[in-house]
Amino acid sequence: MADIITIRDIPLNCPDATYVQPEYKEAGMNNFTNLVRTMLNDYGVYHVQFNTISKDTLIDAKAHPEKYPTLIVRVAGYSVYWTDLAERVQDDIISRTEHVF
Amino acid sequence: MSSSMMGTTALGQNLRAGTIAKLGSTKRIQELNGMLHGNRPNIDITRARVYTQVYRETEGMPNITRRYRAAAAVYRAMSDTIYDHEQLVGWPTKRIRGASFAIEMHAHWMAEDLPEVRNRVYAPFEITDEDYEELETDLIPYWKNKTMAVQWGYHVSNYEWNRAQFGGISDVSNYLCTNGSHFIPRWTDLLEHGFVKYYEEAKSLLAALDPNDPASIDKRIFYNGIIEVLEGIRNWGERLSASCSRKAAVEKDSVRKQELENMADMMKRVPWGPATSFYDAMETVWAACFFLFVEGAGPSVTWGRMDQYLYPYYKADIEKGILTPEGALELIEELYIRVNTNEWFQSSQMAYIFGGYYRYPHNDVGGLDENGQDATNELSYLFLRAMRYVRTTAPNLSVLIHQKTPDSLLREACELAAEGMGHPSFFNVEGLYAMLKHRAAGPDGYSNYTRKEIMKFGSPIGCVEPGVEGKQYGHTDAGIINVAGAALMAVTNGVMPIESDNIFSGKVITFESGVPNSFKTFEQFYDAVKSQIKYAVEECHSNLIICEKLLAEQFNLPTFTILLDGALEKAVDATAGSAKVNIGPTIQMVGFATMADSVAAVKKVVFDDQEASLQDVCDACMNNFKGYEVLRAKLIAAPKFGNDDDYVDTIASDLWNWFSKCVTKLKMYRGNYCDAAIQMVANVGYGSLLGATPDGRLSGMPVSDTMSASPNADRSGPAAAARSYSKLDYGAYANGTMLNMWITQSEMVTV
Repeated sequence: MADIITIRDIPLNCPDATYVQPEYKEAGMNNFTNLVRTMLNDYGVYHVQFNTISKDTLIDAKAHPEKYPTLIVRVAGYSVYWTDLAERVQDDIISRTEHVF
Repeated sequence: MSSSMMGTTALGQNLRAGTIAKLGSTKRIQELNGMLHGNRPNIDITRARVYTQVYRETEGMPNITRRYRAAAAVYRAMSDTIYDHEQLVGWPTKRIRGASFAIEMHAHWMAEDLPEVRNRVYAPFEITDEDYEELETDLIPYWKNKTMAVQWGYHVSNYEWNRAQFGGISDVSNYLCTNGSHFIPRWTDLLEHGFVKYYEEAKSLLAALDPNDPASIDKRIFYNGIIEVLEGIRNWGERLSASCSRKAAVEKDSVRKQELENMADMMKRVPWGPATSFYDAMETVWAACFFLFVEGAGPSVTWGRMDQYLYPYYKADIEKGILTPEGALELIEELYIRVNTNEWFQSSQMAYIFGGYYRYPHNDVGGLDENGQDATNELSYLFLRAMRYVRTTAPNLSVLIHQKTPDSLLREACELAAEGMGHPSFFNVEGLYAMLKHRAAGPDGYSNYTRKEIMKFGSPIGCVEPGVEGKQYGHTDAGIINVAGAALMAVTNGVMPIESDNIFSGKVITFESGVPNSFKTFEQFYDAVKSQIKYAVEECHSNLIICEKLLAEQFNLPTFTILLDGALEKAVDATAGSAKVNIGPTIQMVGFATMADSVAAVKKVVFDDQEASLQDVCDACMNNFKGYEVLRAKLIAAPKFGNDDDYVDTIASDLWNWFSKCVTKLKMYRGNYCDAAIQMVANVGYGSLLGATPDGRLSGMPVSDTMSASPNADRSGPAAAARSYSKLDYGAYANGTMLNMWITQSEMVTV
């Protein structure tokens, strides 16, 4: 496998960007990448996708949608604005199991 | 209108219309993102008007001629507006975020729902008064008795027609209005040659026809129609180029003037001719994608392995020094913004069930190349990174993972996932290959794909469905079986409980598989569960094949056909089966874990522990557990899927295989076999129609999501849940499986 030089080696120069990179927790990121590798490469699961917004945030977003106009969540095979979802779909997402490592 | 009547949908859109959604890596992208959110979803009647006019003018002509002529006329009528800031050219509708809906699929429900479409709580659409009146008085009346759904009704009883749309056990409602979707065009070939190749091919095939050969009659009609459609596409490019030139002529800013002149030149080259640069290639993938969104009615036209087929253009431009990674990133972000313009227009009932305005291409990165080597390149990273900057709901972005996937690509993908938007999806390449190997080929068959085709062009479509670029056509998001409901029917002898919000409440909705006390052993009950699943699958199939016949005969799709390998040589429309591999319509299940948990609860409480009779469980479900609270607690305490507990996981795995077996033995209208899938959101909608289930779930509550464990049932940590998921045979679901998991953000990032 030839080494390729990517944007992870040479950072992009985007002075006007709105994006602020978060501070990563290395242990958690390692757990996360290992979970994906194990499920797909070792356990043979075909597909997985993740919601990662905390349950408390979603509960607050249901009560105060005006605070979360750009909050995007995963529903099925697609992502959607939280505020565009039917209330019962919001409730269904909130009711799912929030895993920790 | 009061704010409460507007619902949260309108509220979110109001807030996003300001500056809050102006996100992106450059000022240009921020302005374009702001422009997207400054527009509300709106109804565009251009396509409906054109189709109606052409159909009125062509009465008595061959159906293919009418369909193809209408499609060609749409290209000549499409908007030529150029907006500020944009570098890519062309929009599918007069206004951004317009829905150019397929009136010939939707008119029957529109007649009823149109009055509320502006103000409904979920997925409201704007429409001008003039357009509303034209729809109401002219366009809908012309089509409302001609849609595919109405014609399907001529083949079945009124009872069957209603049951398959509103009963919520064996359902085709999601399929009825979505002709033309879940397709990966032959992108690699289109980029290399342009539409002109297909135009010349059709012309020479037409010229070579032997007029004394009876087969030439239909072929001549076909080629003349294809040529007319391609002339429409050429006309569109010419008009858009002229529009760029007109705008350049009056532009004061010299930098923007030059951009507009470059855009005018580009539109003379593509999509009609070959792409000569990364910029050209991006225009082709944008234009052809929305062409298909306008012609077809379904939710997903797909880009597939975009980092692969665009890489040669990217690499060449970088080497020539005419492109930077930042410049490519900006174009990718603009493309992501633009695809969010394709709103999905659906009935009020469907909007209520599904929510959101989703209609999106799927693009993926990574994977293997045709020689089995890691295919990751610089673009793989840029496609993932762009989503962090631009934060859009579409496209559906995914990463193909295999043993050789570089850690840095997986890390890049996981960093995006930690952002919390649900992007990207993670796919196992070996699983994808296994599914494609048996795609549409029956339980023991092999598909027509070669191994190299699968490795080079294999890619997920839509949500998760396996496809192959340019070689596969067919509906993947079609029949839906609520298997939680089928398990309940085995308990209630086929009756939907009175305590349910369903027009069939208290009535037999499937068939009578035996009164509860007739089952003396768990095995006898289990056979009834299986027979209920089989019954629902076969009822669904009987409806789907009728609909497919109607589509093949009357609802043809010329642009899909043009972008399908080998279809022009065959002179057969995509809907009539000209793909190398025809698939679908497929049948998927909803409520998998609710089904498994229900059957396990009956086994535990009724047959193993003998704490209640099956009649008690039946009565409890019929009464939504009112007066049966103790029994409900016992049912809830039974083992649940998602905890690595074989008591229930073996039942889950066995019923998983049974569903696939029932589905994959069925032949479809175009000669292929049906494929099984688990992919839907509709767990909320189908749950709302269903009475209480033996796992303790109350009437009207959602059934379990996708193939995931029931809500809060997987309480033994992510590794135990993963081990339960590892016990399932993914190869048995050639139309894909979907799994949602929730890992809380604070594990990965400081929040």
